[in-house]
Amino acid sequence: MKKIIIGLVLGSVLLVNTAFAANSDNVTEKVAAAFKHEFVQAKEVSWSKSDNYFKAVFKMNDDVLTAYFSEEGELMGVIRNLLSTELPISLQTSLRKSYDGYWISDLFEYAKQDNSGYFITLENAGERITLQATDGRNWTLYQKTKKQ
Amino acid sequence: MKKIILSMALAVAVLGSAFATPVDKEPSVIVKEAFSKEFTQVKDVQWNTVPGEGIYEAKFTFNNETLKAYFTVDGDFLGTTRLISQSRLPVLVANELARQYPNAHVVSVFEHSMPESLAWYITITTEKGGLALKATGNGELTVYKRYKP
Repeated sequence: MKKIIIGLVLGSVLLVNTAFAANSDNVTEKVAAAFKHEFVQAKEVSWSKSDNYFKAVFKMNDDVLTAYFSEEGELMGVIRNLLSTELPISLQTSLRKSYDGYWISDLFEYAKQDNSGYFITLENAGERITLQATDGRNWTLYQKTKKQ
Repeated sequence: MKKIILSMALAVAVLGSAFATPVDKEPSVIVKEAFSKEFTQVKDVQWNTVPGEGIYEAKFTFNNETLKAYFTVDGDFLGTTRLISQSRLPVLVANELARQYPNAHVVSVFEHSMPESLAWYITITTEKGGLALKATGNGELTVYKRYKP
């Protein structure tokens, strides 16, 4: 589920459905330069590549981020896993009010170009709900599935 | 409209550090109900007022963090503030801060959540002096205030 969401967020399902080969030697100068330009304080970078995309996993401000680049060096998006307490307060209080009986099975922040947001997957015994927040204040239903 | 103006006044006040004073009497039932509607499962609520603004401030614990929430005397919710670490800034903001101010020292970061918007106020020191920056979720940084070295 997370892979599909990330794929849609970044503009291509193929991006995450394709296996990434872990080989840092394969990153092109163009992509490496684009990465360096975008993330000036990145540390401990490791690269992998699919047929059409490069993936960089790195540390910034003690957080682990994952960035995706096209072969042309275009930044497709960035993903960061979060704890619920790291969400903006209005999103936390909204979860408390509307989904108190659920547990969190997945939560991440995404960012691309000049927009960003959050996806959270909540579960209870009977269903799995994925919510999206694009404004940092309100959740909207992204997907809801019944458990078998 | 009044709410927006009060929210903006609040943003200014928040950056002015300690500004609230203890209330002589408890806020009205309307304000307390508005608080309970916005926040459930909170602890250690203390009420203060913002002098001259007609605003109540509730300081409390939520998810093991200290928050401040602001209400008008009519019970309108104006927003919350909380002190957060630099690592909690959104990716776009953290990255833009690193690009524009690579050698700056981050002194403090406040998250300011309002009913209509969300912003972060970041105080940094550089070789040229101190700056208070306002950031939005799309990574836009603007200088809010300058401090002489």
